[in-house]
Amino acid sequence: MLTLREVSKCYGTIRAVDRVSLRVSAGEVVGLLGPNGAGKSTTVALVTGLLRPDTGSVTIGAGGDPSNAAVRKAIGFAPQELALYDTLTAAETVTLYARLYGAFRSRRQVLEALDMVGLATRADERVGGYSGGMKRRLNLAVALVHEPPLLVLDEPTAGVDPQSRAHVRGIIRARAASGCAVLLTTHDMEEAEKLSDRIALMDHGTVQAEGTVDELVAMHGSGSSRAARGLESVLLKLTGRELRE
Amino acid sequence: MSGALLALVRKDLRLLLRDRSAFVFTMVFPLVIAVLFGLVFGRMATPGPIAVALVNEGSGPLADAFIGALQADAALRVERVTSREEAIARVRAARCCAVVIVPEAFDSAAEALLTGGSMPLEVLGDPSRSAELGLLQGKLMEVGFVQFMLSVGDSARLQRQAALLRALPAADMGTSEGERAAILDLLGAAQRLAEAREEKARRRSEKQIDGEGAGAFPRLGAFRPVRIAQSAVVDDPARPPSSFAVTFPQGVVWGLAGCVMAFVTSLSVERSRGTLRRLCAAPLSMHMVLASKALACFSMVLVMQVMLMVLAVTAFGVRPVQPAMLLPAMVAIAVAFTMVAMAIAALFQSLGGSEGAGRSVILILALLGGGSVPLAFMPPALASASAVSPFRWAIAALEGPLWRGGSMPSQVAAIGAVLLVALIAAAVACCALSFRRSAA
Repeated sequence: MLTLREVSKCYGTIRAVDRVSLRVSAGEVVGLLGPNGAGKSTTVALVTGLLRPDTGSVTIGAGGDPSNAAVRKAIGFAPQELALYDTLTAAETVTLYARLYGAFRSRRQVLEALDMVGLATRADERVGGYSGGMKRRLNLAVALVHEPPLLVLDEPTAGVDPQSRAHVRGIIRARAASGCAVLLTTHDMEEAEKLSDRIALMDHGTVQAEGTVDELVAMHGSGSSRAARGLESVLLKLTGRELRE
Repeated sequence: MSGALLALVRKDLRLLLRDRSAFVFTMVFPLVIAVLFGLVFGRMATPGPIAVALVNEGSGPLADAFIGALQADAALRVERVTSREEAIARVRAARCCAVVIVPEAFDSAAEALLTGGSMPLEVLGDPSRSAELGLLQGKLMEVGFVQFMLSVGDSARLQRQAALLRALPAADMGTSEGERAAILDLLGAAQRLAEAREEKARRRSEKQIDGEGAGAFPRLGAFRPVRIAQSAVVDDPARPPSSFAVTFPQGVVWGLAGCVMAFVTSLSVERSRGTLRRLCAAPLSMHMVLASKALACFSMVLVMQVMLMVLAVTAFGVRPVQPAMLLPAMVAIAVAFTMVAMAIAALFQSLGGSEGAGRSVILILALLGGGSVPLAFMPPALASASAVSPFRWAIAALEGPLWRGGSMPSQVAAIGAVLLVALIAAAVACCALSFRRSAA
């Protein structure tokens, strides 16, 4: 569903993404992990068509370039920041994005989409009055409303309570089970382990390691304790312990 | 594609209408400015009668006659009050410019006009209204003079004055015996003349009762040393028929400023909150997102103008001299200020920049363009400098159809000037965007 081939992107002299190759198949959840400044956000921007690669190619489905507006209809994007309009209601927000993606949704369909994220009863309230967790769930509903075959989720559970986190994870699993390809960035190792079929560990703009959790731990894990053999220790081993900007 | 564009426009209009401060600045504030300035300028252009509080402390017929003459004067609005305190309170509350007090000794002093007396009046005025006080003084002198002439035409009063004069020693009058004798002769002659006229008037009055009719008999009280023939100057086509015809275009200026700022700020807010990034990730081009913003801005500007013009015509008596040219002018203004908004959005992309520098630029241009002081009242140098303000051309394009009139080519030229503003603003926007792209 999503293929990146030798993709590079530079900002001036800084090489933010360096010859990254990645594939996400239908029904698969791929977690993109890495410290701050590793190149995850630039990769997401390249996948969603917000940036064009300097070299290499990004392909959605059967040969679609995401810089082409029509191809972006296949992508459901939930950015890390809560990019919502405070003075619109949840129903108006979902309806707006459905229209923008060429999907006309009736009031009933909009309420169903909101019900999926547990917001149907508060569909006509303005988003400005929502809690952080509710906004995060609405952010996801907006990405899902046009039922895209590819979901790109940039830290979908950042800053939410355990209940909302569990709810969001349930939705992601359900979408993947229905055949949706999911590219997920997160700093939450537990989330990555629970949700991802495969994980790509990025640092300095390159993919340092890729595989299932078990494969990564087997290849790069050290020590005998459970903690030392976890994904976090693998990440720290591959990317170092120095603080990042 | 058009469905997505309409959805974006609807979203932008919703956001603008739900933002209370933006709504007030684009819709309510311009109306308040138009009405307030209209009332102020209207009052300055056509002052009403001078409001005066009057206290009558006298009780004689001469005081009543004097007060009656004051009340009958169209240039004065006399409100009778019972006490000085009440009258002074009215002056302090700016309900009138002065208190006129007719003292108890008014009648006795008025009877002695020919023996060196004068009608005593006390005026307590608001010092900040010196022009009105000057006019009031002139009016009091005029009414006093008329009362004096009436006394000269009244034989009974002349008789009383003569008796008073005879009883008064010459030294008390400051005259010699010879001068007093001459005055007494003059009074005697005036008395005889008055008696003859009164007799003639009585006879005419009887004939009128008998059905013979009567012409006006000139009394001395009708004597006027100066006769003023007053008529209205023919309407000057360069002057507006009402103050609201000037102030509603001024209101439009502030509405335009509000719309432009709301648009520029909304774009900056979308940038800073990440919603613009999300829109760009949707199957839309950046051009489409900007086009939707521009269309929303255009709609708001047009609706604001139509609302103000409809109110000007229906509620404030403005009668457009060329109504057919109003709509093209308003559409041209909407196009031009949409472009101005695009240019400012391109120049000041950060939220702080658009809210600070952008707002300042718009405010200065609006003030310079006649948003506060009408162009006609500006000093020549400032009026010339206003040519750099797009708001000035918007006012010119609206004033033509509203009250200036003029030939069709002159109207088209005014609209052309507004469209030239649109072109310049579009060029500035393109230059700013290409500069940013190359810098990035």
